[in-house]
Amino acid sequence: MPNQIHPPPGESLVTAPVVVVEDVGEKTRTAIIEVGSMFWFIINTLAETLDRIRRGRAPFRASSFFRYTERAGVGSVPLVAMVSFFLGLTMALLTGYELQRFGTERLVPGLVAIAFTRELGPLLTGIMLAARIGASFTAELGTMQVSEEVEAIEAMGISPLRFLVAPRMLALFALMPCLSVISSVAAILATAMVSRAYFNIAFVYFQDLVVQSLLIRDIVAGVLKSFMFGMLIGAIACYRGLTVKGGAAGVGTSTTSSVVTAITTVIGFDTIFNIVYIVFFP
Amino acid sequence: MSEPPNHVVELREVMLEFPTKKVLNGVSLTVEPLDRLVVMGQSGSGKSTILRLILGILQPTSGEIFFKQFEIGRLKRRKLQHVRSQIGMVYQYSALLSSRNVRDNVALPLEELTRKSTTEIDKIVDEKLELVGMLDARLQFPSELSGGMRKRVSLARALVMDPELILFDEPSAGLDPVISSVIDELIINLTERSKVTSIIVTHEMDSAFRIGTRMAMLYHGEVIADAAPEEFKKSDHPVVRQFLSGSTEGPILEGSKDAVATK
Repeated sequence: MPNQIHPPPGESLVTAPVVVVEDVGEKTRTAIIEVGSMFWFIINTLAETLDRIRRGRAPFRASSFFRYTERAGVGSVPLVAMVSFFLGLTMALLTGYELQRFGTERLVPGLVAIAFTRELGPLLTGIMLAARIGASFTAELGTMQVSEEVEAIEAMGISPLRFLVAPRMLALFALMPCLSVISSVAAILATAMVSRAYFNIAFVYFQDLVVQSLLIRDIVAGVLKSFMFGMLIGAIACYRGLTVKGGAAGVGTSTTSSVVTAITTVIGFDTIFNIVYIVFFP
Repeated sequence: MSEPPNHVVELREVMLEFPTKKVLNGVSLTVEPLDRLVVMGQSGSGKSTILRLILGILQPTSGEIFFKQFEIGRLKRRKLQHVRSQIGMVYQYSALLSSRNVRDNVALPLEELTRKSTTEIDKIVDEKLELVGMLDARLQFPSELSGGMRKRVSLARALVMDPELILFDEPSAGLDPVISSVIDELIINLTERSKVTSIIVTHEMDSAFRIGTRMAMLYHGEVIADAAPEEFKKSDHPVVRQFLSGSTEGPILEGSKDAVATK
């Protein structure tokens, strides 16, 4: 419609739903393509790393791996511990006051312990790492991509997936469970303090209550989830970084998109994991 | 195995199309051992694209590209990586890894692709840095170096695997005329001394005639001239003439949006 600013009234009714459906279709298509390329990204990274190991060489240098574990893991301890501590504190207080009305405040330690080891610990840690480390990996790799550093590495005959992505992904994969354990411990510690101060539960009794209520399967589920989240966050962050297009603005957009995608994926996978776990291992 | 061809690089009828633009339209070029082939052309004419095609970073829409006896497009990942390690590339903006110092930048290909010990690597790195006159800066980071120094380091990095072919993408871009001449001389000395073949992409005439033993001109995705420098200078092709003189009158700007600025 070249010279028309407003479409005739009848037409807009017809076109609007079509446009919406087209839009939804286009978005879905893009999303499916993205999921596919992300999947191949992970597979190729693993393949190139294993290929290198099969030839009897270390896939990357230990020093570069430890640099990332330090940045992603050790550096995140204060943040993870503090946020989990405060959240545990709040949770214990809120549930405690409610349960007190029924005289069942001794359920608080078990409640927080289970919630954190199985669910909130990995989830919170995942969200925090996606924001703190995922963003930094994306920005770093994105800048390298924009300044042709990634291409230069590729042109030398070095695989960027093995050299740049593998150590980052492995660092998050290995460190995520440690951090989620720290998160759970911090929350339980906070609960212990609240229980002692407000609900008159002595530390020894608290310990008994926690140990009684915790099941090995909850702890295992939490740890398994953490491994998965770590790998997902690493993969998404690196993928977004290496696919940056369009200079400085591109790095910004990709970083935002990396954090958003990583957080959504972590929560999404958490749900899927819970459903699978409850259905198949009741 | 068939008889390996004598050329170091051969492009046969290479076409490259992007969804919005046809970049190369049937380019054929051969590079003989010890040639210093200068590829000239306007900005955006697909000069740098040729280098990326030779490295296998881009795939042509049709046509074949050979490096020695290897056809780049048909190589498996591992073989392609091996071929790439025999080609050095000097990027327009050097593309040094900003998180590594000069020594580590130059040492990177050796550390990753060979089984040499640290002492051996140090020896080779020092030797190459000495060649480009950057030994003193070995512990500095790329951000602390000037454009010319970065280019030298990049050159040392390209030389470190003793490649058979070095590709230069606009070696004098962004450098002042004096430093640019220094880099040109460095390129001539090093390629002669190390017996390497090279392809240089540039649009700077002085630099091109100083370095080149052969010149090729790219225009609208095709090679319109391919000759030794003296012959090239005498070419009567209107595009080459206009390019050499730098005049605004001629076929290059016809129908081009750039022409608006000249009227």
